[in-house]
Amino acid sequence: MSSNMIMLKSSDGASFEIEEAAARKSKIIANMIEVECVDEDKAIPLQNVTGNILALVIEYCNKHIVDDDDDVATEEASEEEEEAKKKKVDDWEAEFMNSMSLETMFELLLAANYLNIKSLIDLVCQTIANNIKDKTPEEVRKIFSIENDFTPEEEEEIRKENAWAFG
Amino acid sequence: MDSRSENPTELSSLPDYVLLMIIANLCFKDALKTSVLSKKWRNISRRATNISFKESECATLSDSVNEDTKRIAFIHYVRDWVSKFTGFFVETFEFCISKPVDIETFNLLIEFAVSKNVKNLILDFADRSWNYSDDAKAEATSMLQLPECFYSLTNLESLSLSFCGFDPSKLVRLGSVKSLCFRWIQLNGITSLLSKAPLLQSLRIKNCWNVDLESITDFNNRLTTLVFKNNRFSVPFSMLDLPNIQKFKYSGQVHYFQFLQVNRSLEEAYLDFSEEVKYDEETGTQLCNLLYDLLSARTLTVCPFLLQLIQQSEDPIRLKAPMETRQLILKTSLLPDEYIGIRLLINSSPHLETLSLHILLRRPHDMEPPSFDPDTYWSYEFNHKCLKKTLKVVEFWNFSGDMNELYLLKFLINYGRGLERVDLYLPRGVQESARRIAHATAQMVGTTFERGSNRLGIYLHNG
Repeated sequence: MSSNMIMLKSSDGASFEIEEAAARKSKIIANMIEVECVDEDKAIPLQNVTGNILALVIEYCNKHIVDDDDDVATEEASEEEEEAKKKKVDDWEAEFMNSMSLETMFELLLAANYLNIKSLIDLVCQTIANNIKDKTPEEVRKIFSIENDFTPEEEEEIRKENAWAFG
Repeated sequence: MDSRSENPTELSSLPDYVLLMIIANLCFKDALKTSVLSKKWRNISRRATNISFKESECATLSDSVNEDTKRIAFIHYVRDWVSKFTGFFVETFEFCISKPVDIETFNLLIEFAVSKNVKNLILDFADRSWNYSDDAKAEATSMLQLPECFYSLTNLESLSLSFCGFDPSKLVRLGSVKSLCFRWIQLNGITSLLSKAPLLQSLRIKNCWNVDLESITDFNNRLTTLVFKNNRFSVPFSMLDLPNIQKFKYSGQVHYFQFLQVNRSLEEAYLDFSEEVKYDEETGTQLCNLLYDLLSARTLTVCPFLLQLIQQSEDPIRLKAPMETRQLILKTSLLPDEYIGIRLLINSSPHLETLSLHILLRRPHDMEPPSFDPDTYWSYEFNHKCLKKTLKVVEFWNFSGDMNELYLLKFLINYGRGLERVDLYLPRGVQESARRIAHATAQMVGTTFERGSNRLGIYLHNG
């Protein structure tokens, strides 16, 4: 491995070693590296991210850094190869998201947002949105444990007002 | 309830801006539906950043009311929703309704979109019954003109206008525009418009008139998608410099393009001149030159008009240089006056892997009857490189089993040395009797046609 390794430390004290190239997926960490406030021996403390979530973030970054490297190496790759590779990444992402509970997803989203990893934010948002679309409000409330604080009259009023969407 | 000491993270406990990011991934209707979940969600949905009002999607409103009442209710709803919007910006504002709305509503909506610094603006007032640009031109006096405030937009990334007028000379802040789409409008000033949009990636022009596209220059070298459909040009030709184009689609009457550069790895070229009725002795050569310019296309689609006319070119056997086409889609009536054109294209595609024939039921223009015997035309072996090596798949769409189809099919099956599949697709909604004939014919093809490849499978599919 030619790439530099850096250390990240979660809010609950767990330390993780990660390749710099993978860590740069996070705009925040990339900026820290740019302005050289990363001491080689010291871990970067991430106060808002717990160890189990940070492990997921690192898994995601490692996976995607490999793909980025591939892109550079095989610029001349044929369309089919490109497609196959994209499918592989899509499958991996689907599996990755499938493996976690909704609560973990929300925490991962907050972490991705804190660390500013655009592609991970998009992936989690899209997965959560997929759990909302084509479902009745009752189903959505149940899935996400949302408490209905409308009176039946208020709710009816909103439905009537937005009949266009509910039709 | 929950035995753990820490509250699990719940969806509603995420910060508002995160919830907004989530609903930005929903279609607008689904985003609106979240307003009924709880009070917090109603407030969030009033800040949705991807706004899309389409009259066509409100068809599910009560059927008992007439069209006019529905339309008025829809417009009223849109105005009401916009007035209750509490966000600071919108990414996308889309408003699609058949025929123009009143000027007051129109200005109000545009002012709203402009005040929220919209990035993607889609406005569509075209009548869905229109077929040709002349239909829109006849109604041009009722077309709405974008108000002054529209021209102050600075963040536009994509703009799509359909039967909605604007002044191209006033539209100057196009520095971040990536996508432009114009439909059902008069489009003079397009060349100068392009010279203000250096980041443009996609340009679509459909059913427009007075299109004065003189050229697309290297200035727009990020352009990857270029689509023309049934336009009326006011210039005799257009000069195109397209070093990075991936998709080139043209349908309508023949328009002369002079290409300076075309991307060497063009993904798709689509040429459909079925609107054309006029041709002369030059047309065939002109169309062959067009194919020659687009020879890097991996997928090429052509129409009967082109197939009929390229045989009149200088060399009716092959193009000036071999095409790189992997998939060739022939929209064809498979009449004898298209045969030479079909052979020319097969002969000019040495790397061809898939040949798709979409049999059209409509007859093309009558041309002079061919000077050869159509019944035996396909019975001789020709030395086509792709038949010997690369051609693996032949698809026949709308297969009816008539003689003309069988002649060509027999030729391909006989001489396709590397052929792996022949897929025959019946027309959709075909009658039982016709289905039985096609079945019997396909059976006959499978059992009696001599095969040039021992790996070949022949399959019949329902349309």
